[in-house]
Amino acid sequence: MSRSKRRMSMPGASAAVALSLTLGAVGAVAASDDDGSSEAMASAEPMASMAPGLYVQEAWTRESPMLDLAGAAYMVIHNTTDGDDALIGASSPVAEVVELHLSSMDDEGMMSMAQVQEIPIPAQADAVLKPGSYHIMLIGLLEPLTEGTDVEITLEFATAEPQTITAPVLAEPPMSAMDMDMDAMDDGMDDEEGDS
Amino acid sequence: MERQMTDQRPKTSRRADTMPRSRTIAALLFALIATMAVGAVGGAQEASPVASPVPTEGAAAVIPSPIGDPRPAPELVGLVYPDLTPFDLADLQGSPILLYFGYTHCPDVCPATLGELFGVWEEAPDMQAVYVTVDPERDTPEFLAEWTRYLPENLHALTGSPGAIRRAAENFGVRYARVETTSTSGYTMSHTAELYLIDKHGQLLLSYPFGTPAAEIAADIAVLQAD
Repeated sequence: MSRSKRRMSMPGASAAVALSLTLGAVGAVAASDDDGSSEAMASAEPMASMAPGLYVQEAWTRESPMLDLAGAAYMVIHNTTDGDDALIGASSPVAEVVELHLSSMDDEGMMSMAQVQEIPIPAQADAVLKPGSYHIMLIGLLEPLTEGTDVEITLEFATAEPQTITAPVLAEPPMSAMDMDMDAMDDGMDDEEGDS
Repeated sequence: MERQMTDQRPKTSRRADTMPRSRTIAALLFALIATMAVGAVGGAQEASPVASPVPTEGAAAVIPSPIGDPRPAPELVGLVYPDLTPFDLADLQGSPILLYFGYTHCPDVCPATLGELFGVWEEAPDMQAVYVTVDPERDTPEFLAEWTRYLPENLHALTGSPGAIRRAAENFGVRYARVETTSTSGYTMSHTAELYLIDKHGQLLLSYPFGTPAAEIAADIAVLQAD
């Protein structure tokens, strides 16, 4: 049970999903760099040796079959720069409106949800979007979110350039995402898998 | 055990941080057995020292229930299925039940809990889930009928009059309130988000705080099934 440090490792298919997400996200970031030559390097090199930036991992969208109900997307955004940044908005072709929200529990055990203007991504740290906490809300769905499909989400940041990421639709979190708050604030840069 | 009236309120504080993260139902069963044994030996005894609802020091690890003493689950009076058939908790006796108060327009917390139920079903397919809406304004019978099309048959989605839902919630110590928002998605409901475990005999045993891993709940149900 006790994990001194959350690692990217996870069993079975989830690991494959996460790894492909990692590479996919890294590729997307590199492609948006102004140095076009970095892309080939990106998929082969560990993140720690890459240019400082924002790196999105473990993105996923919850299955949501009814158009009348909002969807939710989750991810971890690593900030390897020395400057604070923030997620300030998002858009997606699957939803009319995309908002940033924060669920939280008060002292009396009441869970509530509020729209937020931004999700902080501190320097050399992570923003963790997960159930029961920060999340991206997809409102006015234009199509059902069906497991096995992908959702594109464009993320806007206070400082960094926008990024478009792919968040596969899943019925359940790709890992024990509900339980990762204890150690999710690790700097995360040194526990990469599949980088050798 | 004598069936109690439905208006009994939980006696314990519901602060999430007082709830032990890792509990085992084995400990609870031990407490139950001990309670019964005490009752059998001396029916005049007022209360079992073992089944104290408020965990204290050394006992906290052994008696994990945040509900208090196991007791017959309150009935859910006046709640109906989407087709308006009255719901009767007794109809589900014989199966373990997980009860939740939530609402369908909740995009984060409630779907996450539903996801947990799916995880529990993988291990305990006969588990019956009861989902009582706290948002009858939007969760009309018609809307719930559409919603349940996408869910397993052993999820029992219930609505009712605002008063019936409020009384049912209060009987379980559930609190909720409508909150106006700036969001395009309209108002939200803030609510307590525990899952309540009721055993196959209709005894309310445990509540699980939001985010309890499905495997932990499934393990508890497995112990109950072996009983």
